[in-house]
Parts: sequence; structure tokens; C-alpha cells
Amino acid sequence: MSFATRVRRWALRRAPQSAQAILNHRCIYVLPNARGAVFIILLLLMLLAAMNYQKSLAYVMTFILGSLLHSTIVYTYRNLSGLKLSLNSGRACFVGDLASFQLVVESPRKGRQQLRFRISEYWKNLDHLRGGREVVDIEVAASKRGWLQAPPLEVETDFPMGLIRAWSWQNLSSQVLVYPHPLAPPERLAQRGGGDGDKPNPTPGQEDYQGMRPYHFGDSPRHLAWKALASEKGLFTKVFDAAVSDDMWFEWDAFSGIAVERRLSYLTWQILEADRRNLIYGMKLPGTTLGPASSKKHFKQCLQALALFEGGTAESHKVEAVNNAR
Amino acid sequence: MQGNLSQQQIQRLIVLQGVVLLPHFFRFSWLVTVIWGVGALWQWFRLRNNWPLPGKKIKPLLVIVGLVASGMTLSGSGKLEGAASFLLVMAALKLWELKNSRDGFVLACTSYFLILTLFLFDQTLLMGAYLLLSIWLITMGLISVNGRAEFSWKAGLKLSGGLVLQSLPLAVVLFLIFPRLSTPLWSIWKESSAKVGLSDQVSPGDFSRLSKTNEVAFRAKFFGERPARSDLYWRAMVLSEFDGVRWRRAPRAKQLQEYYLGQLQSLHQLTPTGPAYEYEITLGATEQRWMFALDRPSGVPLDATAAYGGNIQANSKLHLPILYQLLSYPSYRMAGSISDFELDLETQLPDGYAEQTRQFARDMFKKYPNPQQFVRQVLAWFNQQPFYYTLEPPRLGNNPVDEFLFDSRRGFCGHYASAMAVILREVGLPTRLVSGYLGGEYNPVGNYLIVRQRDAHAWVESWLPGTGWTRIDPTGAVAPERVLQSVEEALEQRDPGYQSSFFETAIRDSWFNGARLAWDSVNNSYNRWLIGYDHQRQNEFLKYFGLDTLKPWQLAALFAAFMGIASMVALSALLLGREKLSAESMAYQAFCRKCARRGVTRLSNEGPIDFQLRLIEQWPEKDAQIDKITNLYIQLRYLPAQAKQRTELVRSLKKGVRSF
Repeated sequence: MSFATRVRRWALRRAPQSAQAILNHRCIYVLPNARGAVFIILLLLMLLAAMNYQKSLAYVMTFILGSLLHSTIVYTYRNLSGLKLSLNSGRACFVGDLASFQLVVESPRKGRQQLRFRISEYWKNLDHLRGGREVVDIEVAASKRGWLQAPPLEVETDFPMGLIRAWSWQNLSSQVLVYPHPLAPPERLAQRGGGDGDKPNPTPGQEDYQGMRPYHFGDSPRHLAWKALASEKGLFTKVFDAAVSDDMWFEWDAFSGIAVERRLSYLTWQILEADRRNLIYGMKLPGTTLGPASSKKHFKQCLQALALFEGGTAESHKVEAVNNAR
Repeated sequence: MQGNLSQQQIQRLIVLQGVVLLPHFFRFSWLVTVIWGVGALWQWFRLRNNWPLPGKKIKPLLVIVGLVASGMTLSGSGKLEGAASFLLVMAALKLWELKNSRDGFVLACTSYFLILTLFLFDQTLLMGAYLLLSIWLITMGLISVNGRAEFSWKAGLKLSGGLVLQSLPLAVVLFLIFPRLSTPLWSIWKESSAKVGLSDQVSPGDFSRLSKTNEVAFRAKFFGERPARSDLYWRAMVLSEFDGVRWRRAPRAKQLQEYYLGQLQSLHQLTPTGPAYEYEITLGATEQRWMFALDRPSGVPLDATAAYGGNIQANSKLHLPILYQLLSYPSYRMAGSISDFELDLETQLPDGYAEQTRQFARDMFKKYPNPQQFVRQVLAWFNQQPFYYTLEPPRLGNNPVDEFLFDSRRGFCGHYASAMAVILREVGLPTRLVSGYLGGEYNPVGNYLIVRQRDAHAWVESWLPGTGWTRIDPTGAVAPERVLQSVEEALEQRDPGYQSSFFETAIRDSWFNGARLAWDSVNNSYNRWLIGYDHQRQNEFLKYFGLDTLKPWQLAALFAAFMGIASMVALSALLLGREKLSAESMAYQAFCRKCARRGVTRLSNEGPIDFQLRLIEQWPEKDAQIDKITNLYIQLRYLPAQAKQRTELVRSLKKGVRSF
């Protein structure tokens, strides 16, 4: 473990997990950066010249610049001190996308400049904190499904002269849900699994109209009985034979023998597709059955279940291992 | 932070660097200026027209031109200037390829160093002001290069100005206590600039040249009473060897310096016949060894020795301005007798020169064999004969003394002193020429005398029985105003050809004179306290606080302790004065807390208006109150209001929150 990593770990231990952080002297670190080091060498050269030629003005210049370096330490520190940071999770995303967090930067004092924020490898600049409050979108590569905890935040500044760097590490607690990466299942598997879920079939079983039932939350507006509504009888949903008897089910078991993550990817794709087409569908995972329904809420529930799925049989693990070996 | 500089940033750097390097352009070869100027113009148009940076073909060409330019400066002057011009060329070349933030940083750093090299040549008060100005500007450049956000000139200058001002106190402390060396670390390259001033050989016409320069030779501050004007004879050196035309310092005397340290004792063997005067002299870097003292000094300052002829000589050439204190007796007697060596040296006269003058001296001595009486008669003769005191005497030939004394009779102090010395030597009186300054302008603002190059003067000194070395000034016999007033007034009255310039007269007679003297006084303080602050002055300063016995490392420890305390004070001020919220923010936060207690919490990314809408949705019956509080808060926070109106608004906001 390198020295820098060690220091970072130590600093993060000192910055406990919290929803909001106010930067102060406990967690702000200040050191000269590379340019600062060059500047210090320049100062030493100047001092050498002043000492040898014994010119008072050369001494004066050297000492003013030395004090300038000293003053910038305070300036740079002040640029971070008192900054209030909190992290809101942005929208959910799929594996392989960038998850976004919204960093809310607040300052009771004006004149903060040249702040830089980083979570994992992406730096975001905030050149000027206008109005004392700014929201910065910070993106993190989502590599795993499930809850993505915001990695430690690094905030730094080298305002004003670029010679001194002040920075802080913060553990801001925020999480974003990462859905499995959607993957279109091969044709034969799709047939077996979701019936005709992937076939374009905008009006399934329309001929087999059976009657009406009272509207339930989550029913597709496509099947609303508009005539009944117009004649002020209330909200009814038209029930079709096909919808009842042949609801689309996306099942875990349909993809047996395939690795867990891949199965989840297939299911994710199917659900996305079904939602896009406004179908009524249900999903069966080991231990969980959702739907059938056709609503945004249902859609989200399905995706969330897929994202947080923790089951998976021993058999599938074995298969996964075989797949990987191949 | 990395990244390419914007057009604005590059243009700003060019302007700042141009202002900062201006004095360099006058100092170095024109070619250096051309390289910089063309580079600046090229960058300017490159940015306008989106031209590419110079390629691999042009760069070597530029470097060659640059090296030639610095070579030109090198051949024309000292090594130091060559080195500085090399650096300048490098900075100018960097301008050609200025592109990203790193280039800008390098440019700013070289500019800082280039400013420093300026002070190796010139440390006048104007340069001191220039130092502050250029640090201010370069720092602004550095800030501009570092920032990605574009900010105005005004904001940048304000920021860097504040930084520099806040840095000054610590810089002053460092300046005062950072240990100064008494000797340079390695040999100093000789500076090339020639100084105007006395020279160690004098032909009669030399002084009239000096009398046209207004430059300050040195300044003298008296502690207590000032001597009378006619006593202000400042000795520099004695000239004992005469070749018929010129007077020189005796090389033999140099060798016998050791032996004649006996003269040093004679400094103390003076029998004062008048008051003593204590004074302090501020002398610039003359690059010479002689030091000035009021006739006659009774001791030697530190780092100096007594030289032959009762003069004071620094132990090494004065590369730096110095400050020294002395005690002098303008009226004195000297006991004892003159040595054979001195008698021999101070009566030699070359054969074949000034025969007529020597004949005249012998004739006069026959009539007045008493030395004192002889001297008086010769001076009276000068006074009675039609001699003229003039700044522009006619050119003299190979036998200047005779030509002057019996033919032209127009001369400046050098002519009179030279002739007088020949006359006295001829009759066996040991006599030598003394060169130095006479008089000086009193500055009432700073209570000191300004002695200028034009006050340069020559007189003679003769060993007379009973009084020892006695000052004799033949110029005073011809033009008493020279002694009693000043060289200009003497010339105005005696020299029909002399025209003091209109400006000089106007300045001398107007209110402007006061300003001029005040300016000189500022200059004097600057030279004394800032430029002249060396290890010796530092010692005095530390002694004042009882710190002079400390070793350098102890001083460093003391400084570190001081810095620690100062930093702690600064930091605690920073922490205690932590982020005070404005009145409206505090009231609004109280409002948010109240809402939170009732179940509606403001989200951290929710603006006041969004929050307002959500609150009204929740509690429609309180919409008037919520609207009022939110509007007042927004008005106070984001819209400028008059101070009086503000307090009114804050009060109603607080009231609104309380009653919510």
C-alpha cells in the first residue's frame, strides 16, 4: 500500500460517514503543490543572489515573495474552510452507465473560487460559487448492480496563486440504485421465457373481449373503457381474453442454466421492452412474484427487484463458472 | 491547473510582463527588446487569427537570434548584465510559445527573477517603488494564469494587491532579523557602471567638470550643532606626487601605510582649539575605497583604516552603501614634528616645470621668511591680483602652473590649489593637495547636509611650525563666496560667463525647493534604513532589543517561535471569526426549523421558491404568511436594498417568522 493511500485511509477514518459535511480545520489539509515547490526553489535562488550581492532591495523582494507564499496558505485554506457539502443521489442507472450524484455546495461566505471535486476518477470544476450555492453533478461509473454507495469525495483548491493545494476527503453518504445491464436474450430463449414478449404485438387478444371490471391502479390506460367513462359510469378496464389467459410472464426459470448476471440482464431487457410497449406483464424471480401490471410503479419495482436480487442457485453459479472458463 | 490559456489570459500576461520588464529594455541590447516586442505582437495577432504556435523550424532560429542578442550585451558590459540579459532573452522566447497554464507560470517566475536582477544595478527609491508595483502585477499575472474563471482587471488587481499588502508585515520582520553576511558568498562580478566622482589624480581642470553634476556625493547628519559653513571641508584624500601637470596619490605612501600608521595616532594627537562635531555620513556604493570625513576626523569607523595623510579608507571597495559615524575637530593644532619621509615626499617638485612660479616664491620668501607670514602674503597676493574664479578656464598647455599664474589668471579651485602648493613646496614647506568637498546644502526637512558632486573642491595643507598640518584655501582668497556660501553663488558673482540655468534658479527660489528637499529627505531615510541596512546596522538594531549576543541559530529559533505565535493568532482569528450568517439567513433558517418540526423539511437542494410551493401545498391556509416570509427573504438575500430599508425589512421578516 503506497504512502499516499495510507494517508488517504487515515484521513477518511477521521471523516465519518455523514449526510452533510462542513469543512473545517479538522479535515482540511494544506501543502505546496509541484508549482509551489518550483516557487520555493526560485525563492532560494533569489535569497542566494541577495546574500551574495548584498542588495537590500533583492532581500526585500525575496522576503515579500516568501511572505506571499505564506499568505496564500491562509487564502487557500479559507477558500475551503466553512464550505458545506451534501450529496443527493441522482437518477438510477444501468450497469455500464454513469451513475450521477448531485453535490450541493453551499457557502455562507462569498468569493469562493476554483473548487474541484472528485468522486472516483472524474474531476469536476467549479470556478465560481455564485449566489453562495451551487449544484454539481458528479458521475461515477456504475460497474455493479445494486446499491452504489457514493465513493469518498475529494475536494481541492489551489486558489489564488496555484502554489498551495488545500484539499479534504469526505465520506458523504448517498446511494444510487444500479440496475443490471439490459441484454437482449437470444430468440429461442425469449420464446421459451416470455412467450411473445419480444414480438411486436400491439393489441394482444383484442378479439377476445370478455367484459369490463372496475379500474385498478396500474392498469394500462390503453384498456380503459372510454365509452363507459364518457357516459359517466366510472372508470372501468376492459378485460380481454388474451390478457387474462396469456399475461406475459418474465421468469427467472426460463433462462435456467445461464449465469445469474446474464439472466438478470435478459430479464431487464425484457422488462424495458415490455414497458416501452405498454404491455401488461409480470415477473417471477425465486421468492418474488411481481404483477402482472402495466405501470411505471410496477416497472420500477421490477427493475429494483432485479437490481437487488440476491438469490441464484448453486447450479447457476456452476454454469457461470463454466461460462467464464469458456 | 493545466489547460490552455484563453486569449484574455495571454493578452493580460503580455501587458503585465511588458510593464514589468520596461526598465530592462533600456538597459540591454536593442535586439532583446526586439525579440520580446515581436514575440508579443505575434502572440497578439496569433490569438486574433488563430495561427498555430511556432514549429520546429522556427524555434532554433529564434534561439540563435536570442543567443546573439544576449552575446551582444555580454560583450558590451559585465558578466552580470550578460547573465541577466540571457534570462531576459529566455523570457522573451518563452513568450513566443506561450500556450498553456504551465508556460504562464514559468513566465511569471522568470519575471520575478528578472525584477530581482534589476536591483543588482540600481537601488534608488524609484526602484523600490517599482519593486512593489511589479510584484503586484506579476502576482496578478500568476493568479490570472491559475484561474480558469475569467475575472476583470479590477478584481485581479484587488486580489493580488491585498495579498501583497498582507505579506508586508512578515516581510519587514524577515528583513530586519534575517542574518546578514559581512562578506559575499563568492566573488562579486564587477559592475560595469562608471561612477561620477573624485578621482585619485587631479589636473587643475578636473574639478570644473565635476561642478556641472548635480549628483549627490554623500549626506551628513550632525548630532547636535552644525559647524559653520566655512568649516565644512570634507576630506577625501591627499595628493602628494606632482609631475608638473598632475597631482597623484603617492604610491610610495601606499607601501609605507603600515609604517605611517603613526599618522593614525596623530588623529588622536590633535589638540582641539574649537568644538568637536559628531555626525553620521550616508555614502552610496562608490566602488572606491576612500571615505569622506570632516576635516579633521579624530577616529576611524569600523571596517575602515586610517590612510596616509589623515584620511580614512575602507578596508575594501564600497560595493554597498554604508553609514558611519565620526567625530571631527575643524579647528585644531598638531604637536610633534614631521618625519623625514614625509618631508621628502611633500616637498618634491619636478624640474623643468613652473620655473617662473618657483622664482616668484623664492622672491616672496626672501621678503617674508616667517612661514605664517609668507602664507598670508601669498594669499593676499592672490586676492589683490586680477584673478578670476571661473568654471570655464582657458585650456592650458604643457606648463599649466606658470601659464595660469602669470598669464590666464582664470581658474577653478584645482588651479589655485595647485599653484599654491607649488609656491609653498618651493620654499621648503611640506605641502600637499587635499581633494574632497566643500560645503553642502542644508536640508531642514531631515536636518542633514546634502553634499553634491558639484561641491567638489581642492585645497592645500601645509606643515607649519607650531600648528602642524594647516589647511590653506587659496580659492577663498580669490572668491570668498565659495567658502562662505556655495559654488553656484560664487560663480554667479565672480564668473561673467556663468549662467545658472533658469530652472535651477527658479527651483531654488520657489516653493518647489521645499518639495525637492522633502523628496531628498525621503530618499535619505530610504538609503539609511533600507538600502544601507547591513550586518552592522542589523547588529545595532538587535542590540537595541538586547538580541545581539544571539547566535544565528538562536535567532532562527526565535523567529520560528514568533512565526508560530503569529500563525496561531492568525488561525484563531480565522476560526473564531467563522462564517457569521446574515440576519436574514438566520431568520430564514429559524423558519425552516419551525417547518421541519411540523413535518415539512427543506431539502438541501431545494431553493426557497420550491420550498414555498411545497409548504403552500401542505398548508394552504397559511399561504399569506409563507409568501410574506419567503418574499422578504429573497428580497433581502438577492436584491440590493438601501441600508435603512434593509433594517426595516429584516425586522418584519423576523416578526413574520416569530408569528408563524
